Amino acid sequence: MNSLFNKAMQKCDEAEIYKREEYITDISVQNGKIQCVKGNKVVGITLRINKDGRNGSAVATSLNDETIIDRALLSSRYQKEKTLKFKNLEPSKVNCFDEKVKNLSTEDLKNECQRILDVFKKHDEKIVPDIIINRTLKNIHIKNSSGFDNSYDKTQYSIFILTKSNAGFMEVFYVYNASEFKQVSEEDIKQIIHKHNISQNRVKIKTEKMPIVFSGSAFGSLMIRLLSGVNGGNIVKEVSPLNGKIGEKIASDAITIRDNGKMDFGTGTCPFDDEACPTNDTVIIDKGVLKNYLIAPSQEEKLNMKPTGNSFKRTMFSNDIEDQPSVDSSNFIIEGNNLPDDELIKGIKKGIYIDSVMGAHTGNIPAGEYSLNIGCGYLIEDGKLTSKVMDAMVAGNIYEDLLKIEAIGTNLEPIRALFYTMGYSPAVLFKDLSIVGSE
Amino acid sequence: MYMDMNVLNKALTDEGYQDLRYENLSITSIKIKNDEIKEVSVTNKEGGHARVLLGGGFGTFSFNKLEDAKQAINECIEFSKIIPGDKELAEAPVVIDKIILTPEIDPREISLDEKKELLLKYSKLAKEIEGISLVEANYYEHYNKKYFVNNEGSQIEQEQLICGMAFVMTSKKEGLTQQTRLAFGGCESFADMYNKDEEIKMKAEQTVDLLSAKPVKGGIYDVILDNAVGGLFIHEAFGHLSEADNLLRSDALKETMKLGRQFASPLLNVIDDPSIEGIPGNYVYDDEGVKGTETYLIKEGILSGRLHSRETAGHVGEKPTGHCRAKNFEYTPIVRMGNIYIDEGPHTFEEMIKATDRGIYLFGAAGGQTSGEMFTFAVQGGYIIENGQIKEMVRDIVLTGNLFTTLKNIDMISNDRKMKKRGGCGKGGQIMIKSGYGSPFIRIKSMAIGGK
Repeated sequence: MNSLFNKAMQKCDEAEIYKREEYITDISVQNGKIQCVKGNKVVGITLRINKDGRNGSAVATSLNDETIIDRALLSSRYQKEKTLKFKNLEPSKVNCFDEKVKNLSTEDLKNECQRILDVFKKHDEKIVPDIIINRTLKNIHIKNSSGFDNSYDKTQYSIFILTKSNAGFMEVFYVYNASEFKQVSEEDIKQIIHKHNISQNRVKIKTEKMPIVFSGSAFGSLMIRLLSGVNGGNIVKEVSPLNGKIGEKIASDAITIRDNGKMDFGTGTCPFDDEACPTNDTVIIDKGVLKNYLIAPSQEEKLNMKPTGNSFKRTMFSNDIEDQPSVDSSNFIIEGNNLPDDELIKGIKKGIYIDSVMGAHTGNIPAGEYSLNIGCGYLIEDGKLTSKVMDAMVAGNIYEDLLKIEAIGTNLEPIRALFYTMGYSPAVLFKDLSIVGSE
Repeated sequence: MYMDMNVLNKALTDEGYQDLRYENLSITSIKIKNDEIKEVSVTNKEGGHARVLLGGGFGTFSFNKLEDAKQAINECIEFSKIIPGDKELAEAPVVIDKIILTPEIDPREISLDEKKELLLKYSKLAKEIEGISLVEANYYEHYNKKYFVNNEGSQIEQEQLICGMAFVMTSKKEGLTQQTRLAFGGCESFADMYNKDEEIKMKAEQTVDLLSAKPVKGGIYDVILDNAVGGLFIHEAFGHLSEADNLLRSDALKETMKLGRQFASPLLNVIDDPSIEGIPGNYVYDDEGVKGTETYLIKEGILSGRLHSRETAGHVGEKPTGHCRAKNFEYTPIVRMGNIYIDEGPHTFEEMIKATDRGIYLFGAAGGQTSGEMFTFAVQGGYIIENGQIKEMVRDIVLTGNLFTTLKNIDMISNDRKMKKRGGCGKGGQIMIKSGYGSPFIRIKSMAIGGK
């Protein structure tokens, strides 16, 4: 890395090399049998430079590929006169590496899949779930001409479990995703089985407004929209409805939302982001009041705000090495008026508990609009989940509906944002939302 | 770049089934915001992917350096050994072939300057329309040279190339924003990128018009879908379910998806054909060396076929169709659509509008998702239809439905089909731009539309 960096510095005014090494093992079980074991050991390198007042970038998959320097210079010829700011700040101290995850062998992953299958069999042998377990070891190293030269190791451990309906379609979906190892507990599995059994009773509902509980996982569909709203890039582009609204009330008092890149063993936890800025614990909404945007170095001057450590080489659809760093969540954390999960639904005479949705990435996201198919939702009747709601949608605008939050639960779940986890949230109760039914 | 295929062949052994794919990728990207160039980049990536099947399932491994191919095969052997069973792949012909591209206008021979200037011109044209607040324009060009070998004797060298322009236009008025999308190209030739001034202006004007449209009221409507929306609909509502890797998951699904089952009205024919040139999902061989074949999925309303890898075809005793593909060397190939479309029907667009008492005509695809029998997709906008006439524009439209009822509710199909210029499909974390879809105008009765 030093050799390539030095060669880049001979031709450029300033430079930064970002290197990502990943070693992934992934095992999948379908229909009760191991379907496939996958491995992946690849390297990606990005060079970003400043030359004659312009910036450029290029990507390679080997440190020996020195064409990356000329390609970055070629790229810089086309940019407007603007340079990148390479940072040299002290990385945050975080826990994102679990020795136990590192030491998991393929055999260990296989045995864990088998254990999960056995627990299902013990409680309900008719349910044969699909399981995917993924273990990732990652090393990120950034060296730049401002003097930053740091790397970190990170582990990630994910478990996906899904049960299937009598027709063979997805019924219940469970996700665990963090930097540390966790054994799926018997209680977790009993809960999946409980939801699966409720799902065998299916109902259609009418178009109406009613109290809605989003599970922590499904709440991601709304948090994608909030992330777009507090994204410093969208503030600069003036396409965010939250432009100029810091200090204003945009949600109910019952909710506080932070982005915490320093959370112990969170899925997005790391000491610095992909532009070498230290990660932070940033309060976005404090008891309903907008406090901060998430800022990348490129927005620092325009907004006169400090970077928040949220610039990552990831989009809603990919985490390719060629993705330019842009504002993204590290770990969104949802807090507030907590009630035990049972209490949350106890007082609802008729409503829906939404466990997963489809179409989170569609519609007018910058405006906060959403119209989501309720992929997995349970009808709440007299404070209890009674049946699975079929062929229904929930729709609204988060900038109206965040004000309708009445309480949140206690059990943190990974917040799902299409392919990725964007943090952790308990279930969230809305006073009433619009449901389009098909009865 | 020349590569000696023997380097790959030497990494293979006779043990079980083995294959290796090695790729040299070059990605050119130009990104413009209004009149400002945000990014110009030429990315080079290379790496390989190995697969071994010894027992009950594949062991697979991605790697970067060609010299690591042998090690990758060894890793796969170890992985596959721990999977009990005796899975058998469907037979496929041994292929020795070389696919060299000859685009009508080769984008690799056009300078970055010319590409940049053209994109910039279009972006400025859109931005000049009053009410447009933001134009994000993107030129993409993905060139991939793939080498494939397996231990059955197949040896394929294949070039793949796709280039195109894509625009996201945002209009804004008093806190309200609306977004539309427009795309050109989506194939190996640069020819489709020229002379687009009028299309750009019309889309920008439509984006501004949406600001004056009312939000759609949620409810059940009869809908008429344009070519892009119809294509997205069949991709989401049915295409994913026709990917036969679903059948590995569940014996119950095999029954649900039994060939010969009546799925739709006899009007409906659905086909996937990777061999159609000039659109995004065009390729010759898939990533296990099988030729991409035209496959009837629904014929006159009856389930008549599905998309296969060698593994899924072996699982159900059918023939491979050449639909097993990966985004790139970092991924294991899985069953994917090539170019899926609804075939033409007997009606005209005008007849369809005239025959609709109360409904919505929907234009412009804006993404979708599916999960088994349920699907959802968004559109850029629509027009209310009343008593057989097109009336005012409406916005913020997302549709949802159940596959089994919705396909039976298609009751009119027009006689003019168009394929979309911008593909794209996500599955298993792999976003694949080489995936195409299209449709004639279709009418569906009683679709649920979300709204406040």
